[in-house]
Amino acid sequence: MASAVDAVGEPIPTSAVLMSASKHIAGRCRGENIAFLKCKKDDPNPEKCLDKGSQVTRCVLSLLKDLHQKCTKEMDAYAGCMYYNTDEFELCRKQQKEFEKACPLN
Amino acid sequence: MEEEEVKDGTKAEEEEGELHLDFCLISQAEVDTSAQIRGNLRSSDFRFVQTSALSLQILVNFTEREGKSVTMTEASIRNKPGMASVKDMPLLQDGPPPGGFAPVRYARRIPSKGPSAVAIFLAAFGTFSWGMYQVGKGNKIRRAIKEEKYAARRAILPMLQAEEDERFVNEWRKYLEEEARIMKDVPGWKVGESVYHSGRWMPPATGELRPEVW
Repeated sequence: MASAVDAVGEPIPTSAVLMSASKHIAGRCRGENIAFLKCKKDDPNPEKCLDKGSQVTRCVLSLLKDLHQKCTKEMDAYAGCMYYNTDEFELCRKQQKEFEKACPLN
Repeated sequence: MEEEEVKDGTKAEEEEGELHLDFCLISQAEVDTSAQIRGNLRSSDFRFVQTSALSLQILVNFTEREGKSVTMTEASIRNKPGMASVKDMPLLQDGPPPGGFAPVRYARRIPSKGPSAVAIFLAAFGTFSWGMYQVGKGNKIRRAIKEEKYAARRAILPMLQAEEDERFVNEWRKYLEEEARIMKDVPGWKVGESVYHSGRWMPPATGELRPEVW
């Protein structure tokens, strides 16, 4: 993986990037996530939950873009460490601390 | 003791300053003629004679007894004044020194000092409890690490499922179009009809391999 952003400059939602931003996603996109999961529980048919799913996708992608704009270097370092260590939090504590200092969880 | 001896053929050899003694039987006649050997004997040579006197009988000249040569036999070595026969010879044995050996203590003296049974039990119980406390602390830390991983997975699960749903719906629509094209001439065919009667939506079980996905 060369970098965490594609040609336009938006972060690609790979597993490393998503795991490094997971705490922010759990905080900021909480409502959309819960709504989508509820819809899925009632009816597992994907066509029925397409709108809620697109809400989730929009929320997460905008959050990633926002995080990347605010603290580019720290996020790139953290996502790179996660990519190298296959999403092990224990091995990336240093980068995690710096990332959360630059972009706090609020 | 004079004895009839038979010449064996081997002789004691003399070297400069020392005498090499062989196990040999020398006749009395030879004894008298070997005056040189006699003159060269030293007291240190008798060591060899006396240690082997018990097992071998070595006949050597010496000129000490009353100016005439006597054969050295067991009786002449272990002589006791007033000895009537060989049977009265004093014993030549290994034994304790005069006065005997020093007394040796062989009684057991196990000391009864040190920690009591209660103290040992409390120490063991205390060590065990402290160890279990450490185990519990470590388990808490490990559980926290696992919880962090599961929470991260829970947070990104809806995003991943939503993306997959979008991709699936597009693929499924393409598939339904294909099915409609194939089955357009079959009367009473409902395109995309579920094969189950439960009413729930079930994922397609076509069993096909899709290497571009997997």
